[in-house]
Amino acid sequence: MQTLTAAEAGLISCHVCHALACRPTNSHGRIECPRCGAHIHSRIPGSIRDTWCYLIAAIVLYIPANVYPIMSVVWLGKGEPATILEGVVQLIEEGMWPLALIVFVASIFIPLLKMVVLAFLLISVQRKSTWRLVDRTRLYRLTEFVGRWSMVDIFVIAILAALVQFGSLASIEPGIGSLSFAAVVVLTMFAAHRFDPRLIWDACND
Amino acid sequence: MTELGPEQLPEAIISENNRFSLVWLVPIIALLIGGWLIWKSFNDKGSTIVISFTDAEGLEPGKTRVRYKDVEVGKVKRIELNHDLSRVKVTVELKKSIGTHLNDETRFWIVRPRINPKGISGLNTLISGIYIAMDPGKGDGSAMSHYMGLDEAVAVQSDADGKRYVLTADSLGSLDIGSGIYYRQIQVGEVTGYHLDSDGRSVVINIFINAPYDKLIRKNSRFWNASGFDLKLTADGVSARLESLASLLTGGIAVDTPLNLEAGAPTEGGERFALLPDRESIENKAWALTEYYVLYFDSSIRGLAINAPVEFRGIKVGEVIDIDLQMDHRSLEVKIPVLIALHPDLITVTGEIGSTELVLETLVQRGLRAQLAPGNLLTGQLYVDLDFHDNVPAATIAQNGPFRAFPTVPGALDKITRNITDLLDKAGEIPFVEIANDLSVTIRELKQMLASGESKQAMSDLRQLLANTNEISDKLNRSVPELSQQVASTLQQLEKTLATADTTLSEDSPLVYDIRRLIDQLSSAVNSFEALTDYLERHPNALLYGKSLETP
Repeated sequence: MQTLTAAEAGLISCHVCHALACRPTNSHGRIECPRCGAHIHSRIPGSIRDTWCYLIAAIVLYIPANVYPIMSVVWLGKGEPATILEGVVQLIEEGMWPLALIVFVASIFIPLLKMVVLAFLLISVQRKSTWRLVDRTRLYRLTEFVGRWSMVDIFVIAILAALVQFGSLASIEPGIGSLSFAAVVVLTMFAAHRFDPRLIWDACND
Repeated sequence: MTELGPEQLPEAIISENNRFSLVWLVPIIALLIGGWLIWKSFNDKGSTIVISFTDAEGLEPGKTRVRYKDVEVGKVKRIELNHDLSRVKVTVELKKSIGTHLNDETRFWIVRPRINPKGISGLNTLISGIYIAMDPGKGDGSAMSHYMGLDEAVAVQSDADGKRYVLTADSLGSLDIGSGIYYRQIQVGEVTGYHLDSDGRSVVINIFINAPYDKLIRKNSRFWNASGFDLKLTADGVSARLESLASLLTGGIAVDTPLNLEAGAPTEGGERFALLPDRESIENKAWALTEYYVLYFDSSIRGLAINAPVEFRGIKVGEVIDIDLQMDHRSLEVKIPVLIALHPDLITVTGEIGSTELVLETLVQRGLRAQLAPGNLLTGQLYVDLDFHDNVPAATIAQNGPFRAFPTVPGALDKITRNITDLLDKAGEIPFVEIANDLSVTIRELKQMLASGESKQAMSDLRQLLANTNEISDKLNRSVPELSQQVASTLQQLEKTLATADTTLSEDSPLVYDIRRLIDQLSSAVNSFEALTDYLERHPNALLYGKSLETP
């Protein structure tokens, strides 16, 4: 299929007012929309750099998110701060397989998947790989779509911690892990957002 | 607006580019946070120790806490059996803040709900689950990696104000950990533990006296077992005595400082006291602190009975427990070991004192010895007398089998017998025969002296002298009449003297009798001499050849 990209046509579209503008021949410096004055670019500037930054930050925080307890449930004086993995194990021990699976997928598998996928995309783009461009784009779309669902955990913890405060009878408190985990989710979402999928396809035009 | 080709589109404007992107701050901050978390977790990592318990009932790895004063200071990490399956090894991670307080006296025990007559404890563990309690202790040693968990809760925390003492008793009675110590029926402390003495002969009871009351414990304070109640049926009626209701149920110890003794020096804690069986024992000056020594005697101990007193300068300090006869298999040497019990607490000690053994050792070096002494000369009963002796060979207290041998010296009776034997031996050496010979010679010489004519001459001279004196006195009488009176009395006395002399020399006086006999013998001797001279006249050769046997 024959395609024409704006970049190939020497055009840039404004992201704000969607006006088309000619790409200036001297492409150094910042480009502004001639109509609304917004910054315009044919590709997100510093996309790879920014994505890497967020990705690295996410990977760093992924460690405390899993090592530190994500929340502690104290029920009748008994209770133990538990990490995500301990929570999963606990659920399995109690026979709640589906729930354990959901927690595992949402809290461990998806963030990890996102980070691996993003790293893979970044590396392949930087290597200007033309390998399975369509699949890689799909992978990216999946990453961006699924990313927000990881926040389910955080929402659950936030709601429980706010609701279950019955003193010594029962109480739920978020741990350091939950903060780190929230940061991981947000950072991976940022990373996915800053990644410009068009870069995947630029490789086949060079 | 007309159609626009790409050529007609306005060109985008270029402005200056930012060299540094703030986005780099994101991973830097993330790294900082991550690094801080890692540093924090390493920094907070406390010491990991292993505590061994007899069982792990209720302990859960990752859940059971370690608490000190109900503050969480650690967590059980792992529970496993030790190599011979006799105990449970509980790996505990302690917080850093408490880890520095560990020492060799730190104690751990499991707090479980417990119901005893004194009350219910550990009830909160029913809901919160059991936990491991700890007492940091005040040891000087460094922290250990392995601790022995206690089976029983520590009754008194190491930081409690007060003093610890040790009691020794013959038996434990109904005492238990937690049994109260009562001073005039006010609880002043409690029993913190007990165990058998290393030689198994007595029970060692550890007690703790709370702070303001520890001043009441003096060196001469007496402890007695106040468990249960005393019921006495005497001629005066029935008397019952009860220390407290709690002591009836859980046992108890009463303490008092008797008035009949001097108030002793204040204690410093850690002193050893005897636990007396009852209150009466105090008045009887009974004791329970006993040390055993064995005495070896070579000579007969006839008269020494079991329960005979051991005295020091007349004050009883112990008694004889057992008497035996030992013979060495090889040398056939016979020894008589006498086991005595000494009661050091019968001796009021002023000033600082070390252990009884050390003190005795020093005293032995200064000459303290045991000897058998007659207690009653009529019945010949003996007792063991301890006293200082000069000029005794140096000796020490030597360990001999299960007992320590106290040096002895021969008894006083023994000595007397030995001296008499020596005396008789010496008497046997006196030359009685020679002495008798010498005596007879001396008597003969005396006889000869008296028989000589000189004595007769002396007698007539004396008469003459008296006559002369009479004349002089007559003259004096006449010339000096004043003096005559005195002279007369003098003469009277003289006459008396002479009368005495007269009686001495009178017809029937022994002297005259002797002299007469002497004279008779002399005359018979003269007769014999006459006969001899006659014979010699006739047989002058007899001088050379002796008297011939044939009749002339």
